[in-house]
Amino acid sequence: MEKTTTFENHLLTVSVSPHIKSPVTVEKIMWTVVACLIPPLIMATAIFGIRVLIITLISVISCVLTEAISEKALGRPITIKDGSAVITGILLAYVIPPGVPYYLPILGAVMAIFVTKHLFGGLGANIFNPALIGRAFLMATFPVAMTSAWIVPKYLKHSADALSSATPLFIVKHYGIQALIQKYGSLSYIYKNFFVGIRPGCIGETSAFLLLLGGLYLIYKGYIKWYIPVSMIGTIAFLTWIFGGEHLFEGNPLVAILSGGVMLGAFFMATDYATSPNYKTGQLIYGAGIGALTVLIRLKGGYPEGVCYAILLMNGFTPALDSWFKPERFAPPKGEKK
Amino acid sequence: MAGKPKSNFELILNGLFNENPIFRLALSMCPAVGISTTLMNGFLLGLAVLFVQVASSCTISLLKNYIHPKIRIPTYTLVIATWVTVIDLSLSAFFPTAYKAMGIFIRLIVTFSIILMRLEVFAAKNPLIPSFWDGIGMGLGFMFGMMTLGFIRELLGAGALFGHQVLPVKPLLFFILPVAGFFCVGFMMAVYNYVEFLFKKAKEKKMRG
Amino acid sequence: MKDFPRIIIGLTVACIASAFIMGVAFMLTIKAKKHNEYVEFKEAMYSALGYTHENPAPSTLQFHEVYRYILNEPKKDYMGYMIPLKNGKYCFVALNFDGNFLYKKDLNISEEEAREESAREKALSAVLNPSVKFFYANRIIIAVNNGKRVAYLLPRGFAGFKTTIKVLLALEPDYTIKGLEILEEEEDPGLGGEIEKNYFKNQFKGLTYKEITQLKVIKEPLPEEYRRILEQEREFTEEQIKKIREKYQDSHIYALTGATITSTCVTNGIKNIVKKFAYRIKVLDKIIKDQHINAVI
Repeated sequence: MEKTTTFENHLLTVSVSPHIKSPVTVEKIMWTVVACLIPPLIMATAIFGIRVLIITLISVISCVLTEAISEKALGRPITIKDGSAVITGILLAYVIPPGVPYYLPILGAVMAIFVTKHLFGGLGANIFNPALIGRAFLMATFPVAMTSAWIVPKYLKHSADALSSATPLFIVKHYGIQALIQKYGSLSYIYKNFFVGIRPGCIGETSAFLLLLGGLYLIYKGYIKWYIPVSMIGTIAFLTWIFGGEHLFEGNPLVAILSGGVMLGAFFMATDYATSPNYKTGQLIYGAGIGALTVLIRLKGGYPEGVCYAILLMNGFTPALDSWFKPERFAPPKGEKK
Repeated sequence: MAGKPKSNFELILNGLFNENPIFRLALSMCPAVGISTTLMNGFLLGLAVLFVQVASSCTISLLKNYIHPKIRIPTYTLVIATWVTVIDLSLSAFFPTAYKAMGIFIRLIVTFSIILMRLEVFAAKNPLIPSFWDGIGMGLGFMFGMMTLGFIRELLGAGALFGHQVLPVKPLLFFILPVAGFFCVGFMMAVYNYVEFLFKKAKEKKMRG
Repeated sequence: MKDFPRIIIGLTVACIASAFIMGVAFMLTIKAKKHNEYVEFKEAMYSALGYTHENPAPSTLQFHEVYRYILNEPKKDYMGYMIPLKNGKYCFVALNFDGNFLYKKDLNISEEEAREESAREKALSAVLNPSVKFFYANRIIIAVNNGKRVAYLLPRGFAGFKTTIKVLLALEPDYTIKGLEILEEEEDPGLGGEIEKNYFKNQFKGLTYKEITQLKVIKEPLPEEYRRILEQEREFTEEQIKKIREKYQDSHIYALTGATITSTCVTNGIKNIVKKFAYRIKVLDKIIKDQHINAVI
């Protein structure tokens, strides 16, 4: 009896055949993601100036350094070559406003890499997305810089006033969508510019087009699945359409998904391997949960944007989603009691 | 607790380091996280706990033979509540300025697990004198822990110490928020563990020659 | 089972002993405590009115208290005021919630005695119909100098983030806020507890009635020069204060960082207090005038 139980346990730990040896390694995936993240940076440099390039560089360098130092201090093998710290660095820079002081990303990097990643056990063992914890920490510590250091992008026509550099979501939240349309002339002008990426916002979140391109490439290569991005963006669009306007079914879903960090969050942050569920059903629910929480924070919360906190909250649900929605083949046969 | 009885001095050190209420026993974490935003708050709450701990420890160690073991926890709670009330009332009557600063902390103490735990573990089994010193040690240990947290959080969060601005800026607002209380406790626990680890290593080295 | 009597006796003795000790401590301290509270309240009153050691209150300044009661008869609710009279006694005026006069009774109680709630209850039940139940609601302290109203002082409470916040609000006769003192709060120290700091509570100072009715909280950082004026008013000349206050003071209050809920609670609380008070004092003044009450206020 004893023997059979151990035998069965042993069986369960082996994955299902066929066992294909794949050339895909962590390193390769990570550097591909980095490559996909480069075009938005070029765009941001073009519209916000050279400053954002410096911030991103500072962020990446401090993330890599923190990674090396923490791994050395904690006695782990040094893995800065696998690119995961580089991704965290880039993502951290992408979710902070372009006008912040240069020391902010350094503090964020220490929080993201050392506290969120290495104190929880290193790559793959972290519960929360490191870059977003870095942002949340910076939001709590420097509320002024993190909510007001916006830069007016070049090539953007608008009526100059006190709200020149405010993010679209801030204007929508406090003055309504009509104010946004008035500011930029027409709705089609908004769609066009927001899609290309010429709008005020965090460094890497502006260009919906380039982020979409990068995300689609990752899906095409099979590195990420479409479930999370599609369910997340879909939920945001749907719920904003219902509740976003003055009356029911009058919201503007396109502006909602083109502004804020929706595209960046959906393709590059919510899909993080370590912090998202592993199976299809869980992933669909996870994405929908992020979308619902985002809309809730945007419409009813204190902040104009909620993608960051929504992803962090759903990160906490990931282990539960994984065990609740296991695919059939891993679950014990129905009707059998333990 | 087994082995030869500790000297009074060792009992105080025990409260400060080996069995520090916050960093080793992880008791009374709620006030440690909630109140330790400034050095002064930490000091006042520590002082209040010191009073109540010593008074209750002495009372219980004197009365321990008369307390039925089945109802000891309610009796301990009664003793603590009585002392808290007496201290609260006398401070409010005779030291109104001190009461203004400490009043809200004193009323909190009734629910502190650290006091109940020391009564159960130590005062109920030991005579008056060691119980007194254990109370002092635990009170000082709690005060030390609260003041360490208060020092870190006030310095980093508000750039001040005892309410006086010492740094020109407010470096990290984060540390004033309750979350940072947990961070600080965690880091201090790590420091305590690391120091213990170093001590052990040194001891081993000594024993090997 | 054998232990039962011992347990019962043990618990009873412990309870009685601790009750005895607490009772003795209470008896020994209650008088000093009451006195301390009274002194503290007096200090808060002067400080809300803006008097300090360098700028003491005039000796002719007097405080008169008006007590408001809710009365409850079978099938009927109304309210009443205890109004201090020129002869040093009180009279009781009942009016319905629309502000119409119902009846008036004279009370045999002096202003000094009326400070004790039990004495007021005794005096009221002596003149009121026994079927009437009455409940003390709150009071208005009216500061009078040479027969002229100088200020209203309102000790009030409202819900904060954690527990009730008790404040003392001083208003000019035209309902402009003269000063705000926080009497009691148990918010988080360092976060919500900051409402006791000058840079928060002095923001209310000088708000006019119109501004108060539109008051709201904004989550913007407090401008540095405004903060300096709020914290150290004495170091600036009146002109500087006026200029800076005009620049920043509008119908908004800068929220405390990390304690938006507490800030909102205080702001809304004060808004409600002033709105209600302005309505009630108008009604009360009309009644005093219509009924020819020889009031001291």
